[in-house]
Amino acid sequence: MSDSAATEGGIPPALNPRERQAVEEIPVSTLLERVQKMRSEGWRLVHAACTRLVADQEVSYCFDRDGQSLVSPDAASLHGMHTLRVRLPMNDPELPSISPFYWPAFLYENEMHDLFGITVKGMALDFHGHLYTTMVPTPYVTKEPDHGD
Amino acid sequence: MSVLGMSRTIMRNLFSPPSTRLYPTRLKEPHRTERSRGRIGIDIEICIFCSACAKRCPTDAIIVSKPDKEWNIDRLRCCTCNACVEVCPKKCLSMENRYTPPTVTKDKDIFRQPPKPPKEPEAPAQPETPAPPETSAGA
Amino acid sequence: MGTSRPDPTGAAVTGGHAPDAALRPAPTRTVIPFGPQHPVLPEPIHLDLVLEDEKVVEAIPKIGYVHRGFEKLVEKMDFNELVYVSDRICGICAFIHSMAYCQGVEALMSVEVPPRAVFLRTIWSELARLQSHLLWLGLMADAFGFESLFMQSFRIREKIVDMLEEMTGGRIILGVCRVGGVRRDVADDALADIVRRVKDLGGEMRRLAEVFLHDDSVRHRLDGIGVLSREQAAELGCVGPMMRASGISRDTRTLGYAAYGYVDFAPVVETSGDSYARCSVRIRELFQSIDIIAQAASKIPGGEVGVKVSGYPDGEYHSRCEQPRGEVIHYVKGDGTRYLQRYRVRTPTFANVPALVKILQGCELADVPVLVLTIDPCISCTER
Repeated sequence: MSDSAATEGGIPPALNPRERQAVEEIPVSTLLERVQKMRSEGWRLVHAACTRLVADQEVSYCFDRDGQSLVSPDAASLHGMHTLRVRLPMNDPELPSISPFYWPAFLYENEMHDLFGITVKGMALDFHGHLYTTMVPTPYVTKEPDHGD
Repeated sequence: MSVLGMSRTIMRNLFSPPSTRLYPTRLKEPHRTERSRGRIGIDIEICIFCSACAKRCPTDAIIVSKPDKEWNIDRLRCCTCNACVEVCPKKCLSMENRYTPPTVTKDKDIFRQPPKPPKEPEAPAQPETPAPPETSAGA
Repeated sequence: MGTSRPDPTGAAVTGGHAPDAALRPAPTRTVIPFGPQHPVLPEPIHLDLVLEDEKVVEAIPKIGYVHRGFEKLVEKMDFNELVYVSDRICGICAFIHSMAYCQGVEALMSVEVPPRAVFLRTIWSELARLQSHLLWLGLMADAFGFESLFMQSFRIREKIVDMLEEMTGGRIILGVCRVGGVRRDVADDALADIVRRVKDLGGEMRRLAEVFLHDDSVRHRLDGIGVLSREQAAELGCVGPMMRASGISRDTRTLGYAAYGYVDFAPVVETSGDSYARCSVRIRELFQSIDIIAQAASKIPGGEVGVKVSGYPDGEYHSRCEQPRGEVIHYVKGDGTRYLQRYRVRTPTFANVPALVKILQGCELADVPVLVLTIDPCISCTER
């Protein structure tokens, strides 16, 4: 990876540049095979997170590969991240665990279970809801956001 | 292989003043910088109680009461972020560079600055008296 | 899971990928809880260490002692106020969190940050990195019992933190970043003075580095302990100096965010993968930071330091920065209203905890504090 892009073709490097990042929505049923494909292509798991939307929730798995992006790079673009996104219903959301391919994913999956109530089957290390022991179970699950003012 | 690598440092420290300060007997007074964020001060005389500071405060530490002409701050909630100082239209808030001194009492869980005396109503402007006609000196 | 063990937290932990040895009943096994309160830990983390005599066979981590639910604050505070929250996620690496957040929101709103502000952010990031690495060096020295070295590290660190206070008003939580720029400017001559003082401190840091890298007693405690091979580091998803000490040359700063495209530097890499290599990487990064500060201060342009921001964030973006501990991701998602829809922080220690579990397997009990510190745990970041 070049440390200073200033010398390339005389274009001064952008200040505070924006990365190219791609999001791909996939059905839950294809999640494991897609993740297996990412693993075989050498992508590393950056993080996994859940977002609650109005009608459903989405779980995003973000991957990164050094210097590569699925979006074709040009002089102004940077190495990007690729996100696989699955949509889950609000009630009884379930996911298979990606631990067979990425062992460190157990932390993200336990966190999703503790905070959002998503059931993840087959985690490598399962804390059974006690990763974050909060007074209120699944504290991030709220009917409506409570805007303070 | 090195076994006495710290000896030079030890010798130097032996013959120089300590790096620590006997706090709280000796405060950092002369060395606190101008920009240090200590606590919020207010010049209550020019405050117009517009509540811009209370709206901007992220921790809701400021409570402004316009009818009572009161401006309260909960020192223990204030995180000295300087947002209120920047937004005040009258520039009556300022950031002092001394910390709030530690306290052992909590008055109803709020460390409240005693309300300042209410603003004196401005005296009505006196109509300008015409200047006395100049008397010429001498005849 | 074969052996039954006392479970004070009430968490029934299954080891789906536990090594085979754990399934055979072994009479000489004990489980020792490490943490959450331990003299060597800066922040609480709990480890259940399964020991056979004095060797650690398995380690089960448990975090969650300082979970504050920061990400839920997105519902109560609008996107401008969240800067104060992001500043306070961590008590060591605070500035880079707020910078990463501001970068994320600025990318969503397509805000052009003035160049001077970008350079100032870079300089402050590097100063924050200096003080964080010095803090780690001090804690590491304390972990293997070299307390006077710990004091010397903190003595140097105090001067850096004083410089930060002169420039911004805060020592660690600088409170100086905002969406659209920075809130304070630093005069050019003050900046030149800071650079000169940092370079002088480089001499003192060199003396400190000599003790860390060459002293016999230190090397006895660090050499060959907690080896993480290159393949393991890649598989476990390590970030930061953990990964660079195992030979993977990756540094998020090379992506060129902020003003890093304008400064020349290369990732600091070591190949042996043990604790000594991690210590060495962080020490070399100290000098690299001093160099970057000098370069950035020489290239800093004039102009304003902040622009007014109007409108609301819409869209999503992963903002990446290189913290002293590794790569941090701030994921912001807005829906066009004043309040963000989601704010997610993936801190580097979160990615390094699985690596901690792996390097603890097979080590001696006395090496556990050193190994726990070697990942530079910032647990308050991890749990937010």
